[in-house]
Amino acid sequence: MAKPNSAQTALDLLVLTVLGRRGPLHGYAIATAIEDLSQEALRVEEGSLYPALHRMEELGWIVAEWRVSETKRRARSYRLTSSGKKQLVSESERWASFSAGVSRVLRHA
Amino acid sequence: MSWLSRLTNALNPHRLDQDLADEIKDHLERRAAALREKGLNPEEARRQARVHFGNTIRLREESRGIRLSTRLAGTLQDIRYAWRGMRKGPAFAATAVLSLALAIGANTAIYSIVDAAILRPLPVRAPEQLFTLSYPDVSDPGSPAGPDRDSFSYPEYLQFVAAAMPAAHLALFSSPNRVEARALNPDASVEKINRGFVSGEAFDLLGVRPALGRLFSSEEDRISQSHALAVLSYDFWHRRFQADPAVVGRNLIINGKAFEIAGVTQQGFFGVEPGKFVDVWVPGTLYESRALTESGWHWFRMIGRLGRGISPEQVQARLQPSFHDFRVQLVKRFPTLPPAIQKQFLQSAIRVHPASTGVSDFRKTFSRPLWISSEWGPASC
Repeated sequence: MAKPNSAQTALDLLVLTVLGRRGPLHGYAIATAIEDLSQEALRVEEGSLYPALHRMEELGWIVAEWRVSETKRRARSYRLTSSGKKQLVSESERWASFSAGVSRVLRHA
Repeated sequence: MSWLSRLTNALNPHRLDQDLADEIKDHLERRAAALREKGLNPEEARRQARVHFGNTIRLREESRGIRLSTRLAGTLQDIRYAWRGMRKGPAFAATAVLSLALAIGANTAIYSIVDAAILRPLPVRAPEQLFTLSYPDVSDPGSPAGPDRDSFSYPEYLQFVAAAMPAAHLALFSSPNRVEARALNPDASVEKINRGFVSGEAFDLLGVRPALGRLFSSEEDRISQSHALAVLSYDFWHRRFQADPAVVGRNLIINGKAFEIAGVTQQGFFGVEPGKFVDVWVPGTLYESRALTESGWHWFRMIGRLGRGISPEQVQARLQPSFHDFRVQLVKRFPTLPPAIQKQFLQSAIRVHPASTGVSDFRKTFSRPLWISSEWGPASC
């Protein structure tokens, strides 16, 4: 398990949140969603999204299926599973307590 | 079940590679399209999309490592490569395969022999109760003792049988010899068979049953018999007589002497020496007449069965006096033996060994008695 403050887990949390809020999306849509929502504050190397997606797929948090897109291309679309939903909840809580802890230290140090 | 998907992907990596390539291509094209909408020309849009994405190859490899078992995929790739290489050099491949086949064949053969000779008990009744006899050979004083001798003479056999009763029964079994045999009609062809000598009660002692006709009885222990009987082995009966039931009563000429076929032994019984398959058994009393009277002519082994509750030590104690007598006679017959050798003869003791797997020439490593062995504990209770 990655440490709670590692970039990897943050990315996981972002992906899970986006999928939780906006339903099944393909990789590009997830990347742009994260970019838009964070108002471009979070801009990871776009490609690193894919190993993260595949890892979460192997863990069973998300499932993928191929869809034919509007441009007649094959697009792989991901959605949350029930265990993914549970993971989203626990990760959110962990993130919330972590960031609260950081804020407290910053205020009182 | 991620391990299952990793396994399936490793078995067919092309599909996975295609999927990964397609997914990334789709992403790049969408990014390029978005950039084109912002006003970039197609060339520039594509380039910027690539840069923005990152190192495609590294990311593809990373995803690949996540989604398939790289070890298995690597191994399979090596196998496919080796296969292609072999097809290009068939002579080399053939040599390699042949060498391996010979090595595997040789090992299998050796194991089968070990299994038969050492591991597998004889297919008879209660093989754990069987024992065989041996005695130490004389050796030059100072040099280590060689393997035991295990052949006996007929006069010794008679004495031992009497001494062992009623604690144990003994029977004689000679190692099979190749002899010439043919059927009775004059134009029958001669062939070589394996013939073994046994005492009359030998089959009874082992618990071997007839598959056809009857086997020997104590009648066959008489020196002059009304007719000479022979018993066939099941395999020989099948092979040579096509399992013809009319074989009982027919005659067989062995080394010029006529024998009447009394019966056939049960299937699976081949004798008491693993690796040697007896075709025909003949009573020991029909061997040369001098072989029955000379105590120096050793020509067979002895196998016995312990009576209920009898231990091998008890059998040894019963036989030792008779054995010693024979040694004394032997020393008297050869007065010119050096005293050290004479001493060896007079001090030697007969040994009793378990024989559940039969007797064998290549088990002459038994120079120590195994008469106290765990497998005999329960049997003698």
